[in-house]
Amino acid sequence: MSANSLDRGVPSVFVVPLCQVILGVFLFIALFYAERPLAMLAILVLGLAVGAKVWARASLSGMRCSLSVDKKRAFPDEELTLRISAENRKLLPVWFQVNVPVGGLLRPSSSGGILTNEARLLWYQRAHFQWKLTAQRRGVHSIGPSRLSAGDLFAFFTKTKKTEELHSIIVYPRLVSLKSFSFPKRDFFGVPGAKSPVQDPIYILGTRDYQQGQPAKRIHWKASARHHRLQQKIFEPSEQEKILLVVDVAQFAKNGAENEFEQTLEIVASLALRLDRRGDAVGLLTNGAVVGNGPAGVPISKSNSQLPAILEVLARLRMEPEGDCIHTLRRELEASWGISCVHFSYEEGETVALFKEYYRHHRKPVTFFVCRPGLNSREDKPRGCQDVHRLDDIRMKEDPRNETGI
Amino acid sequence: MDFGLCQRIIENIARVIVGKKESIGLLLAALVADGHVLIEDIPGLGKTLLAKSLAKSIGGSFRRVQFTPDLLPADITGFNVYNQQAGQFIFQPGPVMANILLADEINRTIPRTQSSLLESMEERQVTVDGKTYPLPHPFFVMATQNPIELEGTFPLPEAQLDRFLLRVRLGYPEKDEEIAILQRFQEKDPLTELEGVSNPGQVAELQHARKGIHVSQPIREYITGMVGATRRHPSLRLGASPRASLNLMRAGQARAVLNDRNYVLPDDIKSLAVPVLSHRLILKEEERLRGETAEHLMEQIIHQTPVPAPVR
Repeated sequence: MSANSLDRGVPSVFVVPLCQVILGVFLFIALFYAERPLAMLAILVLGLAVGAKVWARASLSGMRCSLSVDKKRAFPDEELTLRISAENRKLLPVWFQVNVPVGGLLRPSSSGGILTNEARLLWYQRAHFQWKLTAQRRGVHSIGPSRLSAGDLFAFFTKTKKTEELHSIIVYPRLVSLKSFSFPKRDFFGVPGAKSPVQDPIYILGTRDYQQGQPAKRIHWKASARHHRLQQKIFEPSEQEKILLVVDVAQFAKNGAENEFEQTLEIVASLALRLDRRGDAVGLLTNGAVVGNGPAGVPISKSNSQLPAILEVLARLRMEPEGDCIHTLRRELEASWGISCVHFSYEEGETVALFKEYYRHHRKPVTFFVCRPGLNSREDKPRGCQDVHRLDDIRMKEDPRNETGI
Repeated sequence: MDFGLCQRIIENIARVIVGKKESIGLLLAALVADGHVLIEDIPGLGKTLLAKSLAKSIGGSFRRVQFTPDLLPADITGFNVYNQQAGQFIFQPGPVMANILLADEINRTIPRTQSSLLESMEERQVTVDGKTYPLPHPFFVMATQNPIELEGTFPLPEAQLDRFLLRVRLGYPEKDEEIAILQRFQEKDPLTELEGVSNPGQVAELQHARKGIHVSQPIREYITGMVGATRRHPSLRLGASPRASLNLMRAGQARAVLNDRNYVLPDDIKSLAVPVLSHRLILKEEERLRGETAEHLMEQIIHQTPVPAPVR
């Protein structure tokens, strides 16, 4: 069913009593002059009005209404289906209308963001309404609480109540295509497979026949005894890459750069997805406020729920600074070792220089991404493990709105 | 056939394990169905205690293996050792030679070692240096995985997960159950006083009797309908296999045995569909990002699959 904005406002308090008074006077006159047909007509109309009013008063009792959304999390431009099921659990037929506010989700826009539909329900009858909504932008959007109106079959008199059912829809940042990019690492451990120049002596992947010239400590004596020939251990690094994505919200807020902020979050989300697919442990750290007052970051980890947690924080993030980034960063860097950082900021200035110094002091490899590079960015590139890039250096220019393969 | 034996085993285990009747029932159903169980849970919930209680209740042998990255296949299956006095190689059986094997944190060992265990589970025998040794009967494996932290692990691939009859999650006990645990274990360990109520031979007879439980045509169609729905679901990249259909039927027969019936009901299939099928499903990535789970999708499929009407 499509949205239908039919206005069924409750009759004004000045209209209904006025009509009743007029009818009452009419009835009095008819009785006074013994005009039977007129008196009968007046009584009939009055009776209908009273009956409709009593009907309306009883209309909401026994009415059950439930709201459901097929997706609680979505990406921009994805379609969601909103379903409302209304049931009349009594013998009295009713007219019924539901109004559901949907915040910034609806596209195309309709009636100021309120969905409306109505039906006439007989005794113990059910009605189902359905709307297709399109997630327009990143954030946390509410659906509800819905307003239910019920009344007599002709909707002369209605009663309204508000439900407490509220659904929050989380819209993640849009995913964009990224160019290939490698991040600097300090520790040799963490690159799986043949790329690592140093093997982890703790993690034994398996055994193979002993190769001439290998040190004796690599011989696996138990396996050699079982195979009746010398076997040597094959090692693999036990550490995966650990990458912390840092977003400096304060810089964006200070410059009022809302577009750049959204673009940055899109790249952060896409990068987190790529790293997660690659098997790396990813974390997120921001100094921004979040909708719902939850944590503004996700500790570095590698689990199935890690990426959804990061995307949720990015969806909830507001362009309002909260907390000291350096302080939060210190806690995270001290708790983890062997991590690389990817730092996102608005422009290359004093704050970025401060962060560069901080990372250098803690010997953490870091890559900076800024929306606006500084004037001398090309000549003033820091040495060692730090570098500053523009967002365009990692985002695919040809088709920036393509998703990364999902 | 003494179908009351199953209830006696469950009640015997309940003398050690507080609550978790549903999980105990699932484990016993897997044992009667001649399958194996994957337990995905965090440490400290009583997995080892449950396995030991089950082994004691059925009078069988119990072995536990803590899987580590340096474990080799021979550590599971066994190996030949040269005996100087005898002047020949003597086979040292591995922990797989037990009625109940608890394979702890199977995802922490290398894929080669995982495969050696999974092959033993499938073939019910091990081959060492060209000689084949049959495994004891019944042979039941409870493998565990920690679902929280995947760093440094080798999660079982989908093809291997399919070999487990069902996946069980014990979960935290309720508050009153936890109080009962403290009371029960305060002064003594009830496991030491637990006695067997059965023997491996009786369990083997139960497994044989399970095969004779009647499965009607509507039930078979119900099973294949549900499994087929997993293959067509838009949120799933991979649905359940024909092995899953077979396992669901066997688990249904085992549930009928536990309830002292010689026929399978749709309710048996309904109650077992999530533990039997959900670990075999692979979600599409966008669904995983939305926080969707295989269990939730499976429950949707169960609701949407029409239940067969009673045959008159």
